[in-house]
Amino acid sequence: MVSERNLTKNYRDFSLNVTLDIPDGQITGLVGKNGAGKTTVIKAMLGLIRPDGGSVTVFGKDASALTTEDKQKIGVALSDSGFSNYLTPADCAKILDKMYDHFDKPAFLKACARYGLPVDKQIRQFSTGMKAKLRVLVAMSHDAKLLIMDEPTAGMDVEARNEVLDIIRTYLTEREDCSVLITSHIATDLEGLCDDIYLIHQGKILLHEDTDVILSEYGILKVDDQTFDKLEQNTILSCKKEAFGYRCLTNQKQFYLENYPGMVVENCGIDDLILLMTGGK
Amino acid sequence: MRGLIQKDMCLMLQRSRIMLVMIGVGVLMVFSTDGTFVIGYITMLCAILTVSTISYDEYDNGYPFLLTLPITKRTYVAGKYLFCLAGGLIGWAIAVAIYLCCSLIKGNVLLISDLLETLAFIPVFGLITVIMIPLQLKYGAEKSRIAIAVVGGGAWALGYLFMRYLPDIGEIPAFLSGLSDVTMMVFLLVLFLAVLAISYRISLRIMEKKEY
Repeated sequence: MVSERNLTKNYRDFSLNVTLDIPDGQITGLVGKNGAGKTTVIKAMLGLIRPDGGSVTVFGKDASALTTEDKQKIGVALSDSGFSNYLTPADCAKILDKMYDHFDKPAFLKACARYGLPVDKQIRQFSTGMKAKLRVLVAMSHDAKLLIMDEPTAGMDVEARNEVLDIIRTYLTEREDCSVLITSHIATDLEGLCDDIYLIHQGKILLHEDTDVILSEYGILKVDDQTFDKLEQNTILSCKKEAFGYRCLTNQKQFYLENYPGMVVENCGIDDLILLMTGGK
Repeated sequence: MRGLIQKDMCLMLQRSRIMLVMIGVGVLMVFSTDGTFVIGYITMLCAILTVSTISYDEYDNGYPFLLTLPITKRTYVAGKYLFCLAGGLIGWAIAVAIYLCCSLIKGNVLLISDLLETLAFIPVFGLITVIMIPLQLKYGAEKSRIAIAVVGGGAWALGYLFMRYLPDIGEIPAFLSGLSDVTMMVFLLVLFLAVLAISYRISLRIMEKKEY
């Protein structure tokens, strides 16, 4: 559905160089710290920036050559950009109705009511969570085949985050053929949602793995200095010095459980992955 | 295109109070003064209000999302010209209606030349609109005000220098005042269309070059 091959984009103090794929019907997560390059990846996909090198194809076409018909099939929720704050959700519905062939106006207005968005109130009077919910509902309002969501839960409290994730889950349950790219720096949001995860850091992809593999085969080893020296290090991806010794990330958790009895081996979450892959050695 | 026009209309309706006040002031103007000043006043305000929808699009980093909707940059520019020129034209029609109604109520006799004079406002507001659009697109809401002042001042300075140092050009005002109303209208219309074509191309280039 989407393919970025050796995509490069250079800014004065930042360079991006990534290769990434979003297969048909797959939910792909892009995680990384703030400023890692997640939004730049998305902007290149949407043709909002011109790459300095490499290629970006969406539906098999160059991203800069996407037609209005192609864009009908893409639903987008950006973290820092949306409809004018002076409009109301009712205005948005009128606009979307004229923009998209498959916009479901009654369903959109019903969803607004369900998630507590007053349709006649200006967006500027909404809270951060309400604005994010509206952006997600807009992206899902027109039967998109490709969903691109940049930090859909950023800046929200736990309840609002769960609600937004619930909206996304419900949509994806109903449309199994839909491909999705979600970025987040709150990785726990993506654990129960994504089929695969890309980890981006300083403009480069550090890791690409199936979410199930990360959760089942990756692990955190907690070892003291002496054990660390004797440790089989071929399957250690990264480690970090801490007060008690070392905290190591491995993609062969079972190997250490079987061969190092007594060693503290914990399950690895995506947050641990980010912390160790981007902050360790 | 329809969606973009709908968006701009929704944004304009948010300012319906300003428009009502503007019409009220216009009515008072016609009753308190003679002449067609009110037409220029309302038409220009309408043109400014419609062009200001570009600021709303830009405000709060709105462009990235806007350009993910099923539109192209070309459609956006075309829609903006259409909306701004149509908005100004509607403003002109409302102003002329107010002027004619109030003149009839006051018992003034309307001449053909008065009606021709009202038509002259169309290419003038059109010219100002098509000059403002690329400046707004290029420089945004804040900087474009300075840019408009610079362009206006530059045009005045250029005119002044030509008048002063090129004696033949000094004959132009006398030549223009000698033209008939119809010839003058045609001249303004041709000038407007020429500036529109240049302005549209510049706006397209600005949008195509920008990254969001």
